[in-house]
Amino acid sequence: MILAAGDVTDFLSINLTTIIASWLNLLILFLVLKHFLFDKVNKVLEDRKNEVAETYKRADEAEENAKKLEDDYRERLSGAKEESAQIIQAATKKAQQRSDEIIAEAKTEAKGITENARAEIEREKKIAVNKIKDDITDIAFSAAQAVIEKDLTSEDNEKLIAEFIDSVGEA
Amino acid sequence: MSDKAFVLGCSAIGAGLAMIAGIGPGIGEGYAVGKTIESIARQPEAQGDCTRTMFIGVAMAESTGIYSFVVALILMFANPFIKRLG
Amino acid sequence: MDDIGAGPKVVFEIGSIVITETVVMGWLIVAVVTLLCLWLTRGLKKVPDSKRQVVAEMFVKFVNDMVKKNMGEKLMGYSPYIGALLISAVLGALISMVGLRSMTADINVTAAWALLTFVLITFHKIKANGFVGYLKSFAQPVAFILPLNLISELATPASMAFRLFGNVAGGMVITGLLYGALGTASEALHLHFAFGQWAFSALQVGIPAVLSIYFDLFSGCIQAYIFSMLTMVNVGAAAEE
Repeated sequence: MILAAGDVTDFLSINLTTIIASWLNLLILFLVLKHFLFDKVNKVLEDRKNEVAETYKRADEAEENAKKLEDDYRERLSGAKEESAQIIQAATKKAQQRSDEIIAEAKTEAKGITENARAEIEREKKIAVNKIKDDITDIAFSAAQAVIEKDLTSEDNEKLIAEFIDSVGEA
Repeated sequence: MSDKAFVLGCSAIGAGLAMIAGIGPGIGEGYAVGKTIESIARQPEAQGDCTRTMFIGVAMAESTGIYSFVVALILMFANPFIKRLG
Repeated sequence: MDDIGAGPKVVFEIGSIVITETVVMGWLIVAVVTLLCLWLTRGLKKVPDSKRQVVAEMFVKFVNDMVKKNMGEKLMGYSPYIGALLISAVLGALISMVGLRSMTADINVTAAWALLTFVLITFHKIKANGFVGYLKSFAQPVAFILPLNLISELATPASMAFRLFGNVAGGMVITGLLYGALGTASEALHLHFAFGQWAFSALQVGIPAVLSIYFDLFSGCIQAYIFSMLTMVNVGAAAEE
């Protein structure tokens, strides 16, 4: 059957041209959709997915970092506390030691000073005693001279005086 | 009665008889829809899935009716027996 | 009655090659879809700021999800093909709403698509099992079941083609019948007005539109979805074996 423009085909006629044209149309549509829609949109979707994943990854990393930092700080803080306690302890110990030392030194010094003072006192005492002895000697001498207007030999005199002094000293 | 008229009349009767096949899909679709409503009543949260699956199933069940309809159409509009008459 | 059960009209012929309405509709759809794609994908951004991009992404995601669910991650390359099938079938049915002839109301188109599906199924079966394994699979589980297996293998594309064709063409015929019946009813009720060449039937306004919405919009979309779904499921199953 030869058909011309405007003719109507049968309801269920097989037309090879239509079949092939349908295949070609579908192929063209497939290529059009692939190149102009699916490839482009898929790329955008993929980009967005990657970006979201990237953002999440970054956020996770930041969180992890912050956590690590926090841990670090906490550790350091506790370390510092310990250290400070140690330092305080050490300082206390040192101060104690130092104070002990100082006290000991002071004690020693005080002892030395006391000793010195005592020695001085002893010496002064001795000097004083000697001086008193001399003075007494002089007084006794003059007194004796005055009392005993007698001429004695110097030797006798001295001896007498010494006896006198000794008796005075013993008294 | 001419041969052509006889063939045409018989074709029309045949087309009518072919459409009896519409009973099958009718029953099947009704059953499918009923079951879908049952399952939606039991699990309302699965309504979307149920409805979608039901539509596909109903359209599938309808195809037997469609085949008979195509046969009826062929008998009415593209009658192969008329051409055989020559 | 003459134009109700008619096939597609011949638009023009080149020698013995006859170009029917169907083919022209196909070209129209391809042109529209191409322009639509170019318009939708203009200025795609990572952060969508236009409705165009949202629509494009929705469609692509819809098809991608469908393909992933039914065919698996390995056959994601088929998603543009499934998208093309879906768009062709939907627009092919919907085009009748603007008064043109449905593209899928031509058995040649649906048969061509179904044959393509059949070729894909066979290709994947041979790829998965080897040629010998493919031939052997017809004699499984017992040898005498071979004719049944053959018939069921051929029934898949045939039923797909006739399902889509039958729905759309049936809708077309029923709408046509109703249109004719309403015209006759209008004449009988003296609601038919003729002004020279112009004829107008009061009942033909509005009522066929309801039917058209069911057959073209609802049935057309559902059948398009089912056609692509069956293609996906069958090809996916063939590739898995």
